[in-house]
Amino acid sequence: MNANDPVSDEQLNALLDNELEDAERARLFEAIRTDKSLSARYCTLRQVKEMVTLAYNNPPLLASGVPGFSHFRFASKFYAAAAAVVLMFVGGIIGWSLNGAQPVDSASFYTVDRLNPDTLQSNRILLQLSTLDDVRISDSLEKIEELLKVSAAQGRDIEVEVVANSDGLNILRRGSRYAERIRSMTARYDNVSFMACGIAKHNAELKEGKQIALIPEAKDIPAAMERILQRVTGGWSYVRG
Amino acid sequence: MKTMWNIFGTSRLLQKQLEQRWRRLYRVAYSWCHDPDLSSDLVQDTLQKAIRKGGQLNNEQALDAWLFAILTNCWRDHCRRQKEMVPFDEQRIVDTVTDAPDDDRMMVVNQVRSAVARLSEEQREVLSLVDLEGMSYSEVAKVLDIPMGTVMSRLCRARRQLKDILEVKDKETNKTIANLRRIK
Repeated sequence: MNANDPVSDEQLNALLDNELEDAERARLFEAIRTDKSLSARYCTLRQVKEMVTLAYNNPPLLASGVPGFSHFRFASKFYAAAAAVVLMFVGGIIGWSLNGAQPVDSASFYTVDRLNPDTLQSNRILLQLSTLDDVRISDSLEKIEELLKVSAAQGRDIEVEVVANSDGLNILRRGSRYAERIRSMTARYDNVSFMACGIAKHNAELKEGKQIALIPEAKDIPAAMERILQRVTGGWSYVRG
Repeated sequence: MKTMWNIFGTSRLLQKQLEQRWRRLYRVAYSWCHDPDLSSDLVQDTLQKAIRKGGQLNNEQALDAWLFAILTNCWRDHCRRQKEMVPFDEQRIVDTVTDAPDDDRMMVVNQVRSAVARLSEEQREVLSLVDLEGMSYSEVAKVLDIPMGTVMSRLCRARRQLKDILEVKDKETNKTIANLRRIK
């Protein structure tokens, strides 16, 4: 196939579903890297696939359950938690606001505007930042800083992780407008850490065709999703910035 | 010839193996019919047939594809019976999904499920096996007994239609990515 041949949706689907040989896969990835419109079509298909997968993670069961298959009922709590968290990601992808949403256990999930040091159910807090919106980022960092300050004054032992993924990864890039603020926060408080999603970093590097440098305070994690799931199922409070 | 009974040794072990597949079968069945009662019936029928036909399977690696092929036949039998009794109404499936008890947490899930329910039966079959089960195109072709080219074209049409229904657009062009609430 010629490198300039137009790429069909069937080919993009085959790439997405891992159906292509190495050479063809490499050719299409290169085409996607250099062609914004093609990249957009690929991303759209990927979003559709992810949405379908997530929508059926936790199908409704019969009220009576199914005798003889109790392992499924035990497993469902985990799947419910997983589905709720991943849906927050989908919500981010599709522009759905989480405001007012009550996923799984409303006591453990907050939007940043509702984050209140006095009503927190857990002393372990994970804040996810996946936006480019400066107002939301600033508000989120301000809330976290306030939480750290109040807790230190009260002698309260808390731990905060800020996980940056998707567009939110930009706050941890070298030269970011938030770099100094993050440096100052981590210097002042040793119970806050900033984590960079490996998948978001990889995607950004593919898109830009170069390595991305992060600020020294950023810790690499393989995937934001994995981290959030671990923490939420481990009893941490989850905050969407 | 090595049969499924030889592979698993005892019927108890076979039952355990089948039970472990219950959730996966149920999930796919639900994505096809969006009815918990019917999904459960389809899976029960599938497992009963699997146990009855156990001697036909001679390769453990083929167990999954074999089970999903039986599930497909159960589903198609059901659809055939429905069509013989009353005109089949795709909209009925959509209504079943959107009428379910709703809250904010379930809003997105319901909207995506509603969109999937609007696809044709054939498109739903392919889409679920690829996206939920992670089957390869050739496995799907075998399970559904259709050519691989048909798998690809049905999948392509299904995703294109979902994209249109869900209004999934692209960030690069700075358009709205989706307005899922409109689907309700």
